Amino acid sequence: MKRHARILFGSAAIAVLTLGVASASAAPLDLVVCHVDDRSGSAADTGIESLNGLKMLIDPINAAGGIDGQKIKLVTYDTKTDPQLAASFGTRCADDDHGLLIIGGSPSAVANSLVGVANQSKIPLYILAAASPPLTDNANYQFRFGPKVTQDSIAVADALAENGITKVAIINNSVPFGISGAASAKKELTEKGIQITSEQTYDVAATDVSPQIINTMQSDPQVILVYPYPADGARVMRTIRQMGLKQPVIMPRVGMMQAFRDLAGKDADGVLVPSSVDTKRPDVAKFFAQYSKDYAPLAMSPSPVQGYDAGTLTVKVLKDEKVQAAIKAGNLQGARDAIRDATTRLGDFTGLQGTLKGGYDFSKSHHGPTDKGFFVFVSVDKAGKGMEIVDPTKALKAK
Amino acid sequence: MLIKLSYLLLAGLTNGSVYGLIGLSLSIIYGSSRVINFAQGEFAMLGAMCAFFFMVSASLPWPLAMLAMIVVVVLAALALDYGIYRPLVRRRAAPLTIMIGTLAGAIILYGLAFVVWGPEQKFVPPVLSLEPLRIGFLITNSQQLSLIGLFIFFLMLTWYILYRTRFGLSVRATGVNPRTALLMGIRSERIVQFSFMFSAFISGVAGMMIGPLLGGNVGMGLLLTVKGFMAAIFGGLGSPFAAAAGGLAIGMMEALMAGYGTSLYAEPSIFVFILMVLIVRPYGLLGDYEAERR
Amino acid sequence: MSKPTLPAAPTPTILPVFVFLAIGALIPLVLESGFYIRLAMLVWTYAVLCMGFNLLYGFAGQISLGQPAFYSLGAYAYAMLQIKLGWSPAVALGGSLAFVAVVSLLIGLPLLRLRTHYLAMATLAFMLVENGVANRWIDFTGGQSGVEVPALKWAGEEIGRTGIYYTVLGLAAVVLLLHDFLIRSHLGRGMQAIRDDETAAQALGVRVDLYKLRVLVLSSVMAAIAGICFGITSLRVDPSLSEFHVLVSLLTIVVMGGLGTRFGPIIGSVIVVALPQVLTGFGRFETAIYGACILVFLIFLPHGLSGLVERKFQWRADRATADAKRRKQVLKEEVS
Repeated sequence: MKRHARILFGSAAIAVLTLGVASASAAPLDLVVCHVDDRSGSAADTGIESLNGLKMLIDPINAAGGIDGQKIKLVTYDTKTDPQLAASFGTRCADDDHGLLIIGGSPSAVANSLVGVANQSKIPLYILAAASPPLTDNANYQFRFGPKVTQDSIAVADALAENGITKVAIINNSVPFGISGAASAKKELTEKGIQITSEQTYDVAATDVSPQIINTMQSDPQVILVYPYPADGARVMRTIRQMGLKQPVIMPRVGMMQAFRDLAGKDADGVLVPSSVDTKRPDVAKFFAQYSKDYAPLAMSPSPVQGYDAGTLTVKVLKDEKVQAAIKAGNLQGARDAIRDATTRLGDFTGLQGTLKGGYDFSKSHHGPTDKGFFVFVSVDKAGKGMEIVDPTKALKAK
Repeated sequence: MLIKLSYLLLAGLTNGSVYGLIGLSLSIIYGSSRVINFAQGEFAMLGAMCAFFFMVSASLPWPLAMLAMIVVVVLAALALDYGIYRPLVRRRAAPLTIMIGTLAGAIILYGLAFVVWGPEQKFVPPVLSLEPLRIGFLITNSQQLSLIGLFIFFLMLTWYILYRTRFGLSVRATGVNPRTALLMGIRSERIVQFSFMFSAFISGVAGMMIGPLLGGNVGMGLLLTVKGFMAAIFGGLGSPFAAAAGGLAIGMMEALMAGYGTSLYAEPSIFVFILMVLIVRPYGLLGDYEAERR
Repeated sequence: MSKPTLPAAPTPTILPVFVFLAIGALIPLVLESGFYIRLAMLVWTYAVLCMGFNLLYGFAGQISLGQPAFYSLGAYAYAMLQIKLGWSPAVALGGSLAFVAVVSLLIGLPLLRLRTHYLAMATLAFMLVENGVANRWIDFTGGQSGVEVPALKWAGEEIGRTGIYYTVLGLAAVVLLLHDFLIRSHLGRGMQAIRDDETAAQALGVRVDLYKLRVLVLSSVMAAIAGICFGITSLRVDPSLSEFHVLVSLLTIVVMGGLGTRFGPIIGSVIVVALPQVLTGFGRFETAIYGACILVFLIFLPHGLSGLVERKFQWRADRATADAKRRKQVLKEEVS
């Protein structure tokens, strides 16, 4: 019995050690900001790019002495597309790192679980690319920098309706991104009175997608809307062109990804993408030139810009008087609440994302970007190597 | 109408060939060792990623790249054999425990590939052409067609080895009863080793050929493994040809379902169908061979 | 001659169960940080999920790779019964468990005829179907956004993290006691008989089919309880509950903790929950190291950590038996 007790006591001690012991916090607070996002797993690009974008803003500020003499401490966690892990890291940031703010959540599933953490631990959350619409319903501590998938769909529906398009076919893959993207597009297009001529889903592991393309072809649409991942997007485009379909193709989000354009080559040309990044703006162009110099060549992608914009607002908010007062007083919860309030107060601004006509609209209850003026249309050209901002009217009439 | 049907059948044949190739290689290992290999899709992933590595990063011509790829994939198979299968068998682990071991192997292979290639989707250059190819009224491309050819080739090769060589006879004998085979002087460890290498070879070549179509990505293995599993239990794990037929059938069902029914629910419906088939035929559609052994 | 002085077969004491629960009950008092409480909640959640699997595979030898589906179904049912039908949390708990029990019965009746790998693959197919439908049926399940799980309330107030923790602990305690009781009872030996040799078990009067079905339903219900624990912890249920990483965690836990052991699921859960937190320092190598850890355990500790501890006790018991035998021998020799 004694032996029992000793061994069990030992394992209890190990359990406690494994869990670690929380340390007490000291005044004034460190400026801890956590980046919790996928840097491996299926959405790795988004997390890597957003972290780079965030660093491009924070590093120079820290090099220049930080905010009021205090440097921003960036703590990073890789969520590996695992929502459970994301929630653990989020809680770790809130309770163990004594973070002031969480930035991250590019895949919707990860963002979903971070939203739960934000509201339970009462810590502000800046969501990045996640597209799922309900993330910021009745939002309290969470704010989104990336547009909802419905906003992509609204931008597409508007452009189609303005140009008198009435028949659209949808093709999507069978992963959550494809299914939910297609569902939201269907809803917005139908509201504008546009007829959905066919809805086709294919398996990401299917090498030949011609059954889906045949059905699309037979439904005779004016425009084809595709929600794929990069590699299967290339397959869909190749099959569409191979079978001689000449209709304009719109491919939200994925169409501008490097991997898609590399894989599709010349078949990517002419694909239209509603983009929240307007590289015709000189400051945006400059940003991407700098990014390509510092990290890897990148022509256009929303993720680094979202990271940068989140950083911009973070710095603005951390400089806020009330936030600074709470930080100086060492009041962690007070500082977090002040950051949330300051975000709603200071958060109506135009960052690098969106056009000059629209931007973030955090004072409104949806805590996200504006519906109007946030998107431009981009067309892929030069055998997938180039992208150009185009007038959707011209591109859609090009049939 | 006829055009549509022909397209559907061709797509079914192409996709089915891929699933069939994975199912075939899964059941080659199962046949000799009674182990379901969770790392089968990872061999295909290695095939695709090595093709990228040797053809793009090392800019070798494709025959050399293929040889180099085969070396890597076979080494991975040997690692699986020496590092996982043999130690576990020596410790008298249950077959399902060895299956969990292969899952660990799959995680390690994925993890190492991730270290080497990172998470991005890579462009795997096609060995043949992706340009449109016209056959009668059908338009496809030679890379896709080659999958069907590859499937037929490996089916015939497997058949030849199993039924026309002395070695194949001992492979079959080991599959039927390893102890008796051992008593007859067959070294079953060698047979298992051969089956690991041969099935990795098939999956690796398949991976190299589907890479340009599916895109090379270190995470692609799992999807293929799962499709291979479904192919193998649908046709019957016991025989490579039954598993291959299962893959073909799944590909056909997917295509026909997408063509004439709901493409959204195609995958779940097919899995439900497989479950129903298993209820009637617990060893797969063509699984008589294994059922008789019980 | 006197009666043989052989010691009775060692009856495992229930004491360790209470020690585990006591440690569990003390955690919120010792650790203030919500992060550690969350990790502890996850440990209990996974432990509950894996105890069901342990009974099914570790003791009865029937593998089900479909456990994540029941895990997810339990959480969905618990949320839906409250949201769509307005049931109270307690009634929804009962309702969702009953629902999962019925589903697993319907699945189990035909599928338990299958053996080993076929059973594994068929249950895996069931998981893929469940996950596929959860993703696709957007109008009902909310698609990838999932559905919100109503927060638990006590007298109109949300019960907070510590309250949720003790709720999870309470559910886990029930499962743990049941798990332990079954293992120590004749039911446990019946299950092991099926695992070791179905035909022999049948011959000895174990009603094999009935046993298998009962264990399957029980393990599914345990998975559902785990799902509900996860739901009330994270306040949301989405299709990611039945994705592959849950299955990988499950298998890792039972392997590391020890298959067919009494406390393997708990010890394994501690490791699997803590490991990613520890491995964050390894960057790109994390996944490869994780896989290597599983493999090392599988090969060098086939009975897991719990097996290591339990075997030590076993060894002591064996030695006691051997001692007794030797003493008897000596006694005999003295008499003659």
